[in-house]
Amino acid sequence: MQRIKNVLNVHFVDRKGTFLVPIYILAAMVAIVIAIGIIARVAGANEADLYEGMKWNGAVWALLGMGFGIGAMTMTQYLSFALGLGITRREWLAGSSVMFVLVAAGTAVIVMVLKLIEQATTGFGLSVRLFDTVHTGPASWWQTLLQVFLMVMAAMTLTATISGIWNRWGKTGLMWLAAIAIALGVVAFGIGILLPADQVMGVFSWFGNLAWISWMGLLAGVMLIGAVAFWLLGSKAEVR
Amino acid sequence: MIDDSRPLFIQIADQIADGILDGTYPEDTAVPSTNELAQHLRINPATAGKGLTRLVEQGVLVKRRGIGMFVAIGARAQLAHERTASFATEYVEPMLRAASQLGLTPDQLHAIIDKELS
Amino acid sequence: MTQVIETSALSKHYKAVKAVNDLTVSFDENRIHGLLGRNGAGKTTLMQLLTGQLFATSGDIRVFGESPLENTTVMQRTCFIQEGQTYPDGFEPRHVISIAAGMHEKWDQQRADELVEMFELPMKRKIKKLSRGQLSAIGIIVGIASRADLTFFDEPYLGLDAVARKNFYDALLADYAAHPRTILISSHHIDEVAPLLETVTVIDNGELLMQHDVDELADAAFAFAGTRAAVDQFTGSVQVLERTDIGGLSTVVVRGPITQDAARLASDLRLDKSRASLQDLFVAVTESARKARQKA
Repeated sequence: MQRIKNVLNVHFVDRKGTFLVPIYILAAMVAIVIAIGIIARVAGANEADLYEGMKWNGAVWALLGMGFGIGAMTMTQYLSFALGLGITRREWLAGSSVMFVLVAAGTAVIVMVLKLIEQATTGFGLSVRLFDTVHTGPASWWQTLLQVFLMVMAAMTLTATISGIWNRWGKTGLMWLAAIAIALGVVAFGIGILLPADQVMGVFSWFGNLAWISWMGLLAGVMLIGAVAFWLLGSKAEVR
Repeated sequence: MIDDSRPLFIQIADQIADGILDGTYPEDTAVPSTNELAQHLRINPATAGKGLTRLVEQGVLVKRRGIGMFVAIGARAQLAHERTASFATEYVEPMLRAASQLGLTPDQLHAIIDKELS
Repeated sequence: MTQVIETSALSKHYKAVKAVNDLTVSFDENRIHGLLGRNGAGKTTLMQLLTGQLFATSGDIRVFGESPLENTTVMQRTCFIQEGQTYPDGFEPRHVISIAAGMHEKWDQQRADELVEMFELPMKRKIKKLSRGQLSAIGIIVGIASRADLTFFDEPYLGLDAVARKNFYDALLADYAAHPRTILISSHHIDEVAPLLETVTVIDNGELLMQHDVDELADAAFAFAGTRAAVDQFTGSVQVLERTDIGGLSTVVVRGPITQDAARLASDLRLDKSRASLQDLFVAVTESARKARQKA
């Protein structure tokens, strides 16, 4: 337990970097969206149209960028620093997993609260939308909580995995990863060309018609794969 | 202060012995502890300890449990006696070698010594 | 005496390099050990293996009687100050100190504060902006204040000026005297650290060349200098580690102890005899190992 706390301390000791930077990102997002709202008003946009159109605003995805960064750092800079201090791989993975959950949960709560405020004030009184969008899940607060949590978790575990591959096999590993991704893409594209058009559309509409809960299942699956790979790679990591 | 011609712990022992001979450490008083010596000379405490132990073995220092190392009664006379014995090999022989290199006769050598003594 | 570290037939091989090769070595408890070797001799790799940062290719490691790999009990008693330790972006010295303080049960905050002042370490400057010497100071402060039962210093004084190095030696000796523990210092600047050490272990090319108590080393090697002809005549009777010839003058480093016959011969041949410094011995031993390798 003490050691897990030590690991969390490694992640959170730089308070400025850990807490201020996400707040800056959030503040910048809000500022940009509000600016867009003001410009749209000045330009004479219809308020109701604006509110409806901004349902598709994807600015909230910027939060994932933070998740990518955290995931990557966990398996690179921070890992070799922690091992150097005498933290074992297992302690590092356990502590970092706790950190992932804390960050994802924290982000989810913040987004949920902001979404509720946004809904209650009809877009902060400016008819803009940032948090109450299709990307943060359907209307209920718990769905937003779960969706944002899973999205951020998946972002962190996946990038931690990719960084873990780099740690283990270096550039060669990343090249193999890219090669596999490209190969899969080519195969999918090939199948798409070979199949009759209505079947291809069928695949898309199958995805399009997936229920929210099934999407969450997919997201959770991705997160789990990332988490397992993160542990497997991390438990064999050497300092670099 | 530290040269390379002899093992470090012997140099430490000799330094303390010098101190006893010239009165820096009078008989029945304490000499620096192992750790004091180590820190003062920037050397490993084990090496400093070995130097002190050497003097204990020679009977020059005595250990007093819980207090430290003290100069033994009669240590000064003992050291003086030992150093007199080695005086010929350590100082006179090299001097004679140097004198013969210069081609000094025994009389000339005596004259030089008498002049320095006066 | 209890062995804190024991390795047997330890190897760490990379594709082309045998960084540590079939190394069997041990280190006693509560002494200051020197781990000497040229750059690339395998000192850092050995320390990384001993602290479980690297996985061995083959062989066995015992630290406090157990494998250090993924072993919290062992790692809690260990502190490893690495040369060229990297720190996360944005970190400042105070962050590192605070993390280290939380990790070591015997951490002495007062000592840490004293050392910060002594090295004039700016606690709130980005580590990226620190000088090489200030970077070394962070490691030294953590290594001493952690007061771990086993402390590794890998080339601890790189970039430190003469005054800071003296400060390091003073602080280390003072703390060690008050709290004896096992300390391993790696270095290629040998004569300066030599007085601090109780034992010396020389590795080269990942292999053990020699391990001795420093006091035993007093008679381990001697240097003889004189005319080339006289040295030629002398070397027939002794084991020569290294020889340098400059014009008509020669110096040989000879493995001790020197027999009375050899000493008399040297004196008859008017050779100057001196005890080889640890640095001389180190150069001689590693050079003769290199020549033996090239022949093989």
